[in-house]
Amino acid sequence: MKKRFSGTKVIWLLALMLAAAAVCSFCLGRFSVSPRQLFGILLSRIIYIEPFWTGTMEVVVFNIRLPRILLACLVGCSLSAAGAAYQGVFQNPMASPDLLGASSGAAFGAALAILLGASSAIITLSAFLSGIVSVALVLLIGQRAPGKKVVNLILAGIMVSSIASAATSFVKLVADPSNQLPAITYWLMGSLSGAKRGELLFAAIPMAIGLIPLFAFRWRINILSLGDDEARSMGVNVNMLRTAAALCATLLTAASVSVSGMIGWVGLVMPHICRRLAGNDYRFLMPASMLGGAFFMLLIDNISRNLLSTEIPIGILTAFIGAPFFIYLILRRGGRI
Amino acid sequence: MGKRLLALLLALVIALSVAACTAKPASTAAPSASPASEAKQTPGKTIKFKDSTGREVDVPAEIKRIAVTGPSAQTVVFALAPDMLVGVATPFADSAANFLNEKYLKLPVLGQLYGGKGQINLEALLAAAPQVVIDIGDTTGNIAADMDSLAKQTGIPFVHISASIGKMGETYKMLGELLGLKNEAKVLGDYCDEIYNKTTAIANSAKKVSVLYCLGDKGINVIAQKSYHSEAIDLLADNKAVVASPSSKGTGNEVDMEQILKWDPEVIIFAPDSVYKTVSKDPSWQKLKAISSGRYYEVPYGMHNWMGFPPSVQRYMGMLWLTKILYPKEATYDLYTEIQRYYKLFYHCDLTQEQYKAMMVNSLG
Repeated sequence: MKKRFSGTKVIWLLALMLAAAAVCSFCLGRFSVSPRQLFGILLSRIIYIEPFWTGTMEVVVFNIRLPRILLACLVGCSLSAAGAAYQGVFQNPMASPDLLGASSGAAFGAALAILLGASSAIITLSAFLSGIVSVALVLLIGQRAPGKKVVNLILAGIMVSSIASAATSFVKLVADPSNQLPAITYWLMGSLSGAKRGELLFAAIPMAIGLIPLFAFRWRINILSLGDDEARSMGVNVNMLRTAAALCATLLTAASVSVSGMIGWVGLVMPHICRRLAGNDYRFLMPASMLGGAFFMLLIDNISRNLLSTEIPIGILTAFIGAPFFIYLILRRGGRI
Repeated sequence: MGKRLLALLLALVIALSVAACTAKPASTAAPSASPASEAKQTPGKTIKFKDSTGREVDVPAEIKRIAVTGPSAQTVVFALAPDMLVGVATPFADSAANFLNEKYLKLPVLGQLYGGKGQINLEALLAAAPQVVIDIGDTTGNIAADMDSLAKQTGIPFVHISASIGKMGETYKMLGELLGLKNEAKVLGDYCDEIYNKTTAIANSAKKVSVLYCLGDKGINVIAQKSYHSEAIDLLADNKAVVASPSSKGTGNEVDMEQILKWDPEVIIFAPDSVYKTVSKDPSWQKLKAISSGRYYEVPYGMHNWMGFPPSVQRYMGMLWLTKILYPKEATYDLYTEIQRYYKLFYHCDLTQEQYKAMMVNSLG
């Protein structure tokens, strides 16, 4: 694998891009707030300034734009980090955050909660818990089955995913078509619309629990690529490492999906794009994936909330914008992904 | 090297959490800030309005600008206060261009809200500057929580008003109180109650006619008895379609031709775009009583499907029409006059005889 820049440079570059994108995102929106007013509103949190803006502008900036930008960054970062972790743990380039059934499980939990007429806070909670339960089930099956652990886990993940998908389809079948069904369909397409501070705080805790260990122990994921026997000879408990990394990635996925709905693609492809930039070494790849995922999600969300007067579901955009770009990368550089 | 990065990430996490925490006072500051701005826009005081969830909501005493959360609220509110709408949830059907005043067709599309999430872009909603956002429909258990959190986030009051087919009078009464249009709302509410009472009285006085409502590209999907979409049919007729688990979907339950032959109803109604045009030439459909005797009709479609998709006030037109074709002797009213009245009241336009005829070409046998 050739790479153009050193890992550190890539990370600094991505961090800079993310910061620039965050600043730009603040200025963008359907409600017009001039940069001067925006600056004044933000600064007025720290020092007192005589308001030269309206109260509605303050609502837009603090209650609508700020939670949304933070949530986009967190979700992008988490999904991409989870994808990178799964790809390393299972040594499989096809691995993505939904590998162990976290997404499908969360989708079922959300659909069920919508069917039962729950409020949005309960829908989020139900999605999160049912994502975690699905993965717990997969791990349990994987532990009990004899033979190759990794293969068993992946197979169990596929099976639990398909059960959850079937259950979601059933919920859609019996849902009330005038309000519940469109709500479920919309939820499944993924969206950050209506991001609230409560959702942000709810997601931030499991995300932090997942992200910090993945970042701190990222070099250990490199050891897994040596193969189980080699790793064991270096005194690493392979099973524990694998389970721990998978659990962190699962927390990240379930938390993301529960607040944003199903957003595919990012967790699969962002780590690959970062691999091209930063190389295969997880010491650089993991932070690059985190920053790259956040940057990409922020970019997509800006399109989602600004292009039309109504929101465009973000799950559709990630695939429509991301996939062609990725195909272009494959064709241009050639070689193995 | 690795330590520097760790420090960077930690700094990022801290920065994020600080941002989230410093932002926190904004939520408490926002409600106090937004009424101030509203006061600037609309001089006048606020009053308490008790909505269908039992919430006491502070709304401006004089409301001039409103927004809606979905198509069923849109249809109901459009009838009462079309000029107050700052935008619509879903665009009007193409056919609406023939009827509606152009200024309504130009209303911006703000999108639909499903529970807490939705197509509605909150910034676009705030930019349209409604004084209140109205949600109309079934009152489900947790709708109050969603309304509260949206109101808190945007600083605009959100109210929910419940609606169902037999109780539109009450829905309009509440809406009229909210918008200061009590008399206008009473006219609409009385109309709904009048049609409901008139058509059900006719149906109850006669022997209920057996009916099937068939849809789909093969015509073998039926709207089953006791399902969400069969409310109007169940009220007015003997819906033959009894299945074990009625689907609440707009596409109904799929059955087979044998089952339809077994039910053999007196009258069949077909959804627009179903098989109405071809059944008379189809040997298996010909065996049915309704087809051979010519008592089969297509559901009228004018602005919306009259039998209710989405189920909203246009179902009163469906009830008028269904009663007319099922009980022609008992239903002595003139359908054109009734439909014209509906169009005037609910769509604010004059329905000409030609437009009516074009709409009903397959619907009156």
